[in-house]
Amino acid sequence: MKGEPIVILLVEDDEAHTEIVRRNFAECRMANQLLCVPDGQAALDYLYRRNGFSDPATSPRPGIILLDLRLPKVDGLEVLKTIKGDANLGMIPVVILTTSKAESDMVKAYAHHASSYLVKPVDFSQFSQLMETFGFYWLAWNQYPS
Amino acid sequence: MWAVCEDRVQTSQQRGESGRLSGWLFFLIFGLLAGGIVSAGYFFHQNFEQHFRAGVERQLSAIAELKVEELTQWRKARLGDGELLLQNPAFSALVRRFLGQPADADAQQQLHAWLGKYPAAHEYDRVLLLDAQGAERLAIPTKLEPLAAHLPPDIAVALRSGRVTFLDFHRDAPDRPIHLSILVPILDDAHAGRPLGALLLRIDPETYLYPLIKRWPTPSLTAETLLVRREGNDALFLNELRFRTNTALSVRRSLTQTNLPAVMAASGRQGLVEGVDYRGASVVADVRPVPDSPWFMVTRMDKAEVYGPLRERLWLVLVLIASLLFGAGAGVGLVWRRQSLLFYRKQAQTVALLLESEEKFLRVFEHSNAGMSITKPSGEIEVNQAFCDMLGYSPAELHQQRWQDLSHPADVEETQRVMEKLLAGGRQAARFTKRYLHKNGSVVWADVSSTLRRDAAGQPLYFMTIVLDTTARQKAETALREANEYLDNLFNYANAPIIVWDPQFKITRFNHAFENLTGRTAAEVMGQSLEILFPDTMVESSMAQIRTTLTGDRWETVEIAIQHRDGPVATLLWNSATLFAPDGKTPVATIAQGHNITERKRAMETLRESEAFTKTVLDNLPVGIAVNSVNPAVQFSYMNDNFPKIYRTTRARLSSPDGFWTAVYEEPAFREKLKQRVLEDCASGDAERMYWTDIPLTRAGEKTAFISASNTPLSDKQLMISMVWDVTERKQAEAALQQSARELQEKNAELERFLYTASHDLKSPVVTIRTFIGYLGQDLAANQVERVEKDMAFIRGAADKMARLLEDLLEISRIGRIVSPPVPVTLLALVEEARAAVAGRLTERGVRMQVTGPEVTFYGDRLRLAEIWQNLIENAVKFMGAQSAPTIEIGMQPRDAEQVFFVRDNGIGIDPRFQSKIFDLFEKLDAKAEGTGIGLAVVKRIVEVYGGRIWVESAGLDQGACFYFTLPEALHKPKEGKGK
Repeated sequence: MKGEPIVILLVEDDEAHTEIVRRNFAECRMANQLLCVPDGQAALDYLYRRNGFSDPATSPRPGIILLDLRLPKVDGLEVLKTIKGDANLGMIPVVILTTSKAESDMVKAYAHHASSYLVKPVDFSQFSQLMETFGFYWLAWNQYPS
Repeated sequence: MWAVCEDRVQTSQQRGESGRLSGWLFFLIFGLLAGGIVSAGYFFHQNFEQHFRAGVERQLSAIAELKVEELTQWRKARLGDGELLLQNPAFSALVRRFLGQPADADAQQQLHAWLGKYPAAHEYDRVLLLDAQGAERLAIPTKLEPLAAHLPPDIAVALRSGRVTFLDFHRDAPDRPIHLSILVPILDDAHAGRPLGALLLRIDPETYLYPLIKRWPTPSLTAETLLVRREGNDALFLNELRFRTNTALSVRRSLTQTNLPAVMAASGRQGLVEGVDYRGASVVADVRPVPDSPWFMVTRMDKAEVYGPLRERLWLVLVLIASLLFGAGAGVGLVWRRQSLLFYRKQAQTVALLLESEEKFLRVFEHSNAGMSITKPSGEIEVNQAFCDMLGYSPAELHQQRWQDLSHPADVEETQRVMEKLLAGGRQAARFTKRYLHKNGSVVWADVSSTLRRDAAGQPLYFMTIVLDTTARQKAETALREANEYLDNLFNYANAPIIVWDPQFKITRFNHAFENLTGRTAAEVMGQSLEILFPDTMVESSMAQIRTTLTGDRWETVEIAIQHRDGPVATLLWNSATLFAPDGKTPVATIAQGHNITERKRAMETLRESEAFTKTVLDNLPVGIAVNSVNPAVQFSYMNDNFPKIYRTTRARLSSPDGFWTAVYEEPAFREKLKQRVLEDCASGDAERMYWTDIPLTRAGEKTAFISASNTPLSDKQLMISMVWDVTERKQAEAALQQSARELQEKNAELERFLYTASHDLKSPVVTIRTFIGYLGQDLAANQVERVEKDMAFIRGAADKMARLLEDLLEISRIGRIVSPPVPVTLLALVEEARAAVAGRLTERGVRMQVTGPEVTFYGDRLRLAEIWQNLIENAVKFMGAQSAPTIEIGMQPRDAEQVFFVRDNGIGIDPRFQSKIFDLFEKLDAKAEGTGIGLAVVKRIVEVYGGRIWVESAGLDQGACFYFTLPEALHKPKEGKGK
């Protein structure tokens, strides 16, 4: 690992879930910066540095995006489509983190080049395990271009 | 020429025979004369005899009549004598005096004086006065005579009758003379007719009566008159006969001897009779009764005497006839002799002429144009030049030839037979046809006349034969006969019925085909009227047509029906020709030939029926069928009724070439494109391609119809069978199906989305709760109190959210199951209800509300309908933002025949990007906004329940928003039984 730790953008409308993810990251002592937006529109604004996200200091480009599918205003899939349709943003791995186990959602997500598809476990320890594993995989082992 | 010499002898012999014949003629003349004389004499005598006999009969009748008259007078006179004394008072007084006093001399004297006159003046020979007892009281003359025994009973009878009685011929006794008597009863007038007695006046017939009877007015040897009376079964002779004595009252003859004139008279016969008299001599007699008496008179005469003059006369006649016959014989003989002399003189002249004619004959024989031959019975022939020429020989070649060698072998026998017949006698000449053989071998037909000549003794001499060459004629006849036979066969065996009739319409010819047609034989119909050939009902019309032929009409195709004798009727087409006499006007015959079209007619009938059937079928098919060309132009030769109908046009508009395209396809670009495609497809000949489906017929002002069509080329014609059928309904059904499929799909998607949403949104709080319970455990163990509070808040929040979500889910699931019955409610009322429900917030935010547009009445669930406006108003208030003069406008505006309701606000508006999302379940544009995001989903659900749709229009942020929706099924009173 070298340079700045990867910035993670979490797109999640449920405050509780955002808190869960944040706590897990803290427990795993991941130094990575976790930035959260509550809906699809906000996510896009952030990525395109619009509406209050224009400062690169406060709104750095994320190295990986955790995206919920069911989002207010702009749907998660819509966000995914926009990201993957953009030559610049398309390189950012997008990991879907959702409660939906629906086949159609998975198909659509992969069709739009989701890098991974994770279902939020209902069990507390499993959720922690998932987040730990995520951390190891995407933040420790996974290599990103500079 | 020996033959000719012999002929001459034979000829004179013939003449000799004719001489003998004339002798017979004279004999015949004499015979006729003699016959005339004899029959004249016979009739003369016959006539005379009749007159003579009539004279004698008249004479006999006259005499008889006279005698009867005299006898009647005599009897009357005698009875008159009696009458004088009957009822004579003087006489009866005298008699009474005398009988009372017989001694009275005066009375006696007076009686004598009175009665004494009778014998003196009349033929009475005795007068007797008898008293009532029959005793004789007075007699004149007084000579005593015994009293007749019959008197007393006679007197009694006379007295009883009171009338004068005539006592007929009688004898008082057998030896006594014959008398007749008048018996006069004498009645006493003074004493009421008391019988006094009777007076008898006795008559002696000898004195007057018998002479009277015997007397004959003319001298005659045998004539006599006799009286007879019938007694029992006998006829009694009353007078003395001329040729036999002592016959009066003694000779009687039985009535069975009917040939006796006396018997005939007594049997009541009258008039002239012939018979045999008492002597056995034949007599002629007049028999008649004498009136007022029992007598019958016979006036008779011997036949010998009667017919004596007749016999003398007969002799005279015979002598006269004999003389006349002799005279006639002599006359005829003289004439005959003279004739003979003339005949022989003529014969001599004839012989001279004959010699001359024989020379002529020879010349004729030699130079005749006709072939002639003289043939001996043995067969040798002598022929003339013409004969030689006929057969191509020279005279020398034929010399001494036999006829058999010249004849056709097949005819020799027949010729022989003819010759033998002639030789056998009977016929002298024969004419027949035979064949000769020409020298060159060809057959020569000849008409042969052959005469057999005989000598005086009747022996055959030779055959004189004239031969005419008829080969040419024979050939012509054969040709003619063959031609006739040919025509006959042609006529008789022609397949077509042929008939010939005369101007009276009688059948004169009738061929086999006609026999077959009618079942009648030619023999049967020959001479019959044409009428028999027609069905009864058609006789008049058929004959009317036939009559036109007489005026020269020629039929070409006249239709006349013919009836078979068994009933079936055949229809025939006729052609005819009438033959006219040379004058060109008088019809002679008409010939007609028929052509049986019964089968054809039947076939045509069947065809017509099948055409009608086909037409009915085709016109009633639900598809359009036509026969038409496509290239170079669409031109129809047939179309059924449905064809133009399915194309939504008329036959007339399809009739012109290519009129089809413009009549059917209105839009020019589409028409050209389709036309191009159809022409290409048809040209390809590919059956798969000549099948066009679901072609729209788009017309201004009409609903679009759809058709499918196919073409099937007819072999080797540039024609197609076009078939078209209407698929509009199918298309509509398909569209409806697609629509409902789409709707179903939408519903499914919605349901999926709902489930998805529900599961996702419900799962989220679960994840939160369980995770934070896990944290809660850790935090408690680590005694991190500040985090416990936080954990608990998250858990509480998640649980609350979950409870709301479940509540909303329940709520929305109820919307589809409206159970309240529909009630009428106005728009204004609904809006008022909604406002009342959210009145607090409106007031709090200071929102002005206005309702515009026309009033509308709804039928539906009042609470649900109110919910629409309530939710929308709530929503509007919620997103009013920083608006300083918040306003909500509610109303209805018609749009495209729809009533569109709206709720408009001037709040924050909605980003067009999110407008489609806002009606989704649990969808919130602002995650921090209150509520679960179910309001608009509920509105959408209710609108859909009433068959409507909802959408939002907003120019963007801070531009306000307007929600539009329709409620079609809430605008009409629901039909019975329909409930949602």
